[in-house]
Amino acid sequence: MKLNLLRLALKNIGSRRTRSWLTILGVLVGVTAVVALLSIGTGVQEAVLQQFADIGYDIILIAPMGAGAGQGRMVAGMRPDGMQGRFGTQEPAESNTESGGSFNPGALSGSSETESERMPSGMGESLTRAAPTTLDTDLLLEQVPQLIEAGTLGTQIQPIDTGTTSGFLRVSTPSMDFLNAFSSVLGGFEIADGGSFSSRTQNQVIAGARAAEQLQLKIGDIVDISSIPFTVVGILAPSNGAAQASEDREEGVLSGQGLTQNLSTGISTDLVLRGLTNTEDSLFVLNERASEVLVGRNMMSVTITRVERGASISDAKDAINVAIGQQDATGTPISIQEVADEIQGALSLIETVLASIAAVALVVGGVGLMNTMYTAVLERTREIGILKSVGAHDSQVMILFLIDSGLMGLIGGALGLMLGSILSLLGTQLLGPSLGVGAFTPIIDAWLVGGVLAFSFALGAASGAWPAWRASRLNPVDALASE
Amino acid sequence: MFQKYNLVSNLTALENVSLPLLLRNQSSKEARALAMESLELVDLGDRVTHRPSKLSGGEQQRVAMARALVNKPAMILADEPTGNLDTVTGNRILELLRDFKMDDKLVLVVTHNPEIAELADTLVHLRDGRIESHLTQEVPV
Repeated sequence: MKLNLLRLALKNIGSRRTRSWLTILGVLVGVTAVVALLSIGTGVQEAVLQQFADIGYDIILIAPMGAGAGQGRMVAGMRPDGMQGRFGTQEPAESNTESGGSFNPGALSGSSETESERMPSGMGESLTRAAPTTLDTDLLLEQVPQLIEAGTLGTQIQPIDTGTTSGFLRVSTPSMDFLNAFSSVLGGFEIADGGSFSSRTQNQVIAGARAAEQLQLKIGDIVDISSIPFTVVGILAPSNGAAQASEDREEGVLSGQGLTQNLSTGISTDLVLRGLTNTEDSLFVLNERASEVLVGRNMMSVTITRVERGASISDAKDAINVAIGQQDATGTPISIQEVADEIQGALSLIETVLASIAAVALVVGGVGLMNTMYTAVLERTREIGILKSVGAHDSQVMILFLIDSGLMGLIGGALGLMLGSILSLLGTQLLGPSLGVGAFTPIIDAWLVGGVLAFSFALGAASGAWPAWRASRLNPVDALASE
Repeated sequence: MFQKYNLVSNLTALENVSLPLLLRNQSSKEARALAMESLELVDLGDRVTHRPSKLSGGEQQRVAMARALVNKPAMILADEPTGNLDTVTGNRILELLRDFKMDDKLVLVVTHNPEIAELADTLVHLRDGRIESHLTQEVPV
């Protein structure tokens, strides 16, 4: 019987071809939007999680300040626009003070409150005065037995002068331990030309691929960093995060500096992701050397530790907290897992909000379907009368109309699913590189497919429910009399 | 049966006739066979795939007749079955109704046409909803 009704419903859809297709189109648009957003959203999440998995979940970062350290308010969205892409114009320090004026070095260096109060907030001056209490990683390894490796990565913004070009650039300062144990964390720290640091006592610099290109650096060249001459000993291969970096450059935002304020932990997750994984635009100076010759210029330094296999991450975090206290330093340990959770949470939120907006399109499609079905009931009043006069029960008429609208929903859903999938695949392939999101593929899994199909059928049936009920309640004599 | 045939316009003659069977949960194969049989009974075996709009008034009414017969009913109610038809095609419908009656079944016809009234065994005369007369007559076969 259901089959018979299904056949009748199909005939109905076919006999009102144009209107049926327009109705289906309404559903299709909504489904397309939702499918595209969800598949891209899931794809981005997977890609981000993969990035963290690449770094390793056995890693604990020690952020350079304590949560709730009073002054520990990390300033968001610092945009040192003048620091890059303006080589040759010799930016004065004042312009940095403007662009990064809200930057609070006291908070980042982990200095005490009184110290930060004494310090002026202008960055140009404070760069030379902030004295970071860096963790002693060797001591840390002794203090916390769960840790098997530890290294430090600092970041500074420094005036650069190659003789022909000058300006400001990010200088990353990994410690020797960091390079030995965690260079993979940097993502693309691969020497293409020259070699790695050979000495802790000489002024040596390694240039990121794009930094080297912009500054036209060759092995053996001399670069003045903060007026101190450094010799270029290595040039890195372009990293696979190139698309991201190029995006940054176009916008004039210095990579790794688009800090996102994060009050809960006081650590910028953005920095962790970008600062640690983008090596393109940086110069690298050994931390041990930088701390001697570029004294007090660390804007921020992160200590990275690896926990022994099998040891509890949270125990290790507790032990690190104790060790930080014993060293009289400040810092907050945060595991990669926590960072990943936090970012995933934020991504989920964004995805949910976007999908909700797309869902509005679905509702509109549903209303369109309801409209079509209601019109159909009015239009087919006589036909309903005929059906009833030749023996159709109320329930059969109802089911007929429900199948009718459900089918239109389902067809719209299936087509929307295809179109949405194609759009998200094409979108990420064609637009991805220019948007700097090349490194992921949208995910269309069985859950999405099944969910969308079931939902669109339900949407259709639900939209058709009221018209169907109206149809089923028609009095056959009146219905036949209507013209 | 209705004066205006009341066929479903987007279904073919065969589908229209099988509709009552389909609604009674008969398999579509059976329904087709029975509907075919019924259509042949009204001499429309060659018009099964036509839609109502491609059929003449008389043919449409014969499809309606086939639809009424397909269930093998004990009684047919017909409301002005020939009202929209010319005399020749109307007579064909009347013949079919008479054949049905010959099978010892009941046909109840509402009509304004005295010629049709002459064919009935029992004649009930209505005026403005009230019965005026009720008589039985001998019908020539």
